[in-house]
Amino acid sequence: MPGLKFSPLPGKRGELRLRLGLKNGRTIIKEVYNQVPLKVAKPFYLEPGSGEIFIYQMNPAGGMVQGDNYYQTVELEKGAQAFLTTQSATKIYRSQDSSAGQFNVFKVGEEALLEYFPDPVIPFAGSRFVNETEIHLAAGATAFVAEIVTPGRVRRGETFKYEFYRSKTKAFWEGEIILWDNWLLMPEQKDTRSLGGFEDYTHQGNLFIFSEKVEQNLVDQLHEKLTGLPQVLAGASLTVKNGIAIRLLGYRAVDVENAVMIGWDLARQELIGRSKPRIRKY
Amino acid sequence: MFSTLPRVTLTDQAVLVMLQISDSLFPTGGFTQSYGLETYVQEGLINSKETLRQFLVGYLEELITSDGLAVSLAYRATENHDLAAIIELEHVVAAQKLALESREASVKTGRRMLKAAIPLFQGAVLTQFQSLINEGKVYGHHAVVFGLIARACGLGGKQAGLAFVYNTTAGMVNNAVRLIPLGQQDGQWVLTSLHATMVQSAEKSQELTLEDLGAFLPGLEIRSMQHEHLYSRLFMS
Repeated sequence: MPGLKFSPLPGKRGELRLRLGLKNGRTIIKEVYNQVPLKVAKPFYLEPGSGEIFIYQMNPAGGMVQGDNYYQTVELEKGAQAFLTTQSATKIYRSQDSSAGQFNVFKVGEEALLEYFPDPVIPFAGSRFVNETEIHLAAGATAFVAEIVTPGRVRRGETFKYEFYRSKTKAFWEGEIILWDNWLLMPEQKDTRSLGGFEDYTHQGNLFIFSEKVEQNLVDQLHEKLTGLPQVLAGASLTVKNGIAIRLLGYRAVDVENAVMIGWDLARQELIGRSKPRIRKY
Repeated sequence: MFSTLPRVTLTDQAVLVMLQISDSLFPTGGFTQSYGLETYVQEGLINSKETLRQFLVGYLEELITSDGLAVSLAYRATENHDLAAIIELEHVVAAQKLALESREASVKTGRRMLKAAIPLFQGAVLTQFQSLINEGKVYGHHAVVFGLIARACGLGGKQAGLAFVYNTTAGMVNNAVRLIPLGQQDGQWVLTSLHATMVQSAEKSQELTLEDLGAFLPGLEIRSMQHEHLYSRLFMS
């Protein structure tokens, strides 16, 4: 991106690699490698019928400082089902020389299910953050991938005071690019809240849904449900292949999160025939 | 491999081609597409020449990394005879346009433009690209087709960008004048007031690469998505 200078000072390099697969009808962690500060809590099962594994990613460091780079690779074998989330919001602290980065790669095997719902990201004043996600899907796979971005520590009056936030999401269906979402916000250099941009909204959320079964009818249902919520501005649309994108703007993280949950629940019922589970946080 | 190309010299003839392909008279069907603008007008958020101008300033900034960059990348790929790059670009552009109607509008406009251009302008690259569309290898996005035609006609890279940025902005203004409605003179005021922004937009795209391709106008993207469900509408997107 233009105008960005990276001076990679040494920081923490966190790494998490998970391979998830089926055993006796339940999804289990078949292989795990981690390098602190990234690690996972003991997984659990919320839906006894499905055998889907629920995994919390923990970050005991409390937030990311400049030079911190976290790499996360999660592979789901054929038929595996996993819900992944974070323990708490991702705080990005002020940077002076370099930036913080999070790099996720998800490999979703045949007939596998990935549900990735990290907590909101809170970019503090002066922070720099790069968030890159790649999702590789195989035939019959389903994935729900969410992202919620706050404008900063709103209660302390920090709204759009970060230096930059870059998000890049690429999804591939059997190797073919099917979604490319790439944006860079630099509120100090470019008016983030222009007409067509955030306007008077402050919080933003995405929910990307991937499945061979998506169709216009589901988009219409999502549109009706989400545009009926008074606290958010919402849009849903079919992407070029096997996907639906939901884009949300709101004034509070809780409202955007709520809309994401509603969209997820509706699409989940339609695509895999199950309502969203009750997760402690939500 | 694309066939041979004319030398880039901004001859009087090239200037005329530039005017011709950026004129609303050129049959691309652009006047049926609002790319989300109609939702804004219906919501009353764009209701004057000033609000239209504000909206277009943001739109032109977004063009730097979105369709404006796609024009530049298509131009460069054509120049380098790099067929693989143009095919990859087409797929990324398709994957990047999340709103269905805006994506379809881009393809519809691009294909019409190519169809109109083939019998008019010399250049085997145009028919070669048409074959790629026929074979289902590319979609025929407006920005990609524009960059291709511009290079095939011997325009410079920056001129191609300027022509595209002007064509897109003028199209938006033209549609807004009908939708809001505004006087023709107001429309021309908006266009003139954006000259510097248009030049900047076209210039900045020239330095970027495919990895920079992207867009972030969430408000506009959501309105483009919502346009699918507008009860009464004049435009297809």
